[in-house]
Amino acid sequence: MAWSLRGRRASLIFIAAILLVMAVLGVIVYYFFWQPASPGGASGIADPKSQTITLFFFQAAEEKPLVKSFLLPEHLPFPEQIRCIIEKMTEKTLASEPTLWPAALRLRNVFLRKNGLLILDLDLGVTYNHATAAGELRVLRSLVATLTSNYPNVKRFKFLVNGLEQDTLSGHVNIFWPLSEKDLRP
Amino acid sequence: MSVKIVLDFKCQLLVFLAIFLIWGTSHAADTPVEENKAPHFVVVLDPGHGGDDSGQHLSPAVLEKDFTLKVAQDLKLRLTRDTDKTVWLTRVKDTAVSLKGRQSLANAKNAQVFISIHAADGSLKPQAVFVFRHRVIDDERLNDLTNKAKESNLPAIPWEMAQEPVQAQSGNLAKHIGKALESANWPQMESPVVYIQEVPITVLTGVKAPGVLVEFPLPNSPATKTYDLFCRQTSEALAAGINEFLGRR
Ligand SMILES: [Zn+2]
Repeated sequence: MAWSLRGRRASLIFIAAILLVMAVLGVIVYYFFWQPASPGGASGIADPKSQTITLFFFQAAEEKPLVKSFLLPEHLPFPEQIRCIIEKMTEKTLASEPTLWPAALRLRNVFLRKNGLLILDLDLGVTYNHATAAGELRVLRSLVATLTSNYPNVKRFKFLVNGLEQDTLSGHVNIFWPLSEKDLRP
Repeated sequence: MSVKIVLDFKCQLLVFLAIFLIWGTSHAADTPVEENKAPHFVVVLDPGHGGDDSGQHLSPAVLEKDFTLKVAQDLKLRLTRDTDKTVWLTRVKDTAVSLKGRQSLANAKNAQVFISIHAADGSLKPQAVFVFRHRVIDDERLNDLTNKAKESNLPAIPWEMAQEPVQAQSGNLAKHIGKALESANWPQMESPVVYIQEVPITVLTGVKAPGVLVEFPLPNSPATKTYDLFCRQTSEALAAGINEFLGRR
């Protein structure tokens, strides 16, 4: 009887010790290893290999742009990253959200040269948009500012349409020569 | 004796002719014909778009290319009321003219002012008039140009640099036009904000004269009467700006 009491107490202490160790381990894991999901994360599960991309939407007349951000998986190859960013910038989910020419701005190809020149080859649809001078400036400035700010190695931009050099997108702003962010600051 | 007299007479004639010539030239230089004549100005107006390129669809009934032509024609009439101006249009009907062609015409006519007229949908807020002047290429782009020209064994193209010598004058032109637009009375619209901005504009790139591109916000679906009034107000404001600029050059 005495043995069984002692044995029961010992096993209770043993179980309590295990629970204590587990609790301590839980606290350690929670504080040092657990990474809570970012507020912008859609699934609520953290993707440790994603980068926050900041999108800038300039209104041609205003100095300060509207700013939006989203998480971009880092494992994507560079051209895919640029494609994703342009898709995000042209996506319109809410009427009040800023966007750039939905459906008109499609990327065909993208090349990054060693000297920091980013060549963006856009779909011909971009020229059918009947944009104004102020509208062209707004789109080009937003794109250039977004990509320059998120990829510091990108210095200048060359825009092509259907693989060919063009003077303008819709008859106004000069895109024939490579442009930097500074060139488009009015 | 008689020979001596003849020579003297010849000498006298030569001296007289020489004096007459010297007097004539100096007199001509003192009183140039130009001084009494008012200066003559050449203005080139560029109605934006045309032909297949309709520009913006400002409202179901109004295309940008029609508005720009109407304003340019009205502006030409206003400017040529004074005999001190010759005005050329880069297009006089609904035809496509290349951007290079428009710049070449301005240079061929030795323009002293170049105005490219454009329009935007005025239903978008805030309503704004944009006066764009050309941003001349920076050193890095100039290097690019020179290297490209060297690679293809061509002389460096001065086309891209055409606005550089008249940059300050283009700035003045933009200011005068901006001021005239601010004080204009616009029908069916509150006074729009006028923005003067400096960006690379293709149609201004190769123009040697002071030049600007002006973009007006047209009221959405205006009645014919309002549309006509808007066109008249636009050209009146532009004429005031151009005259101010030419008077203060
Ligand atoms: Zn236009």
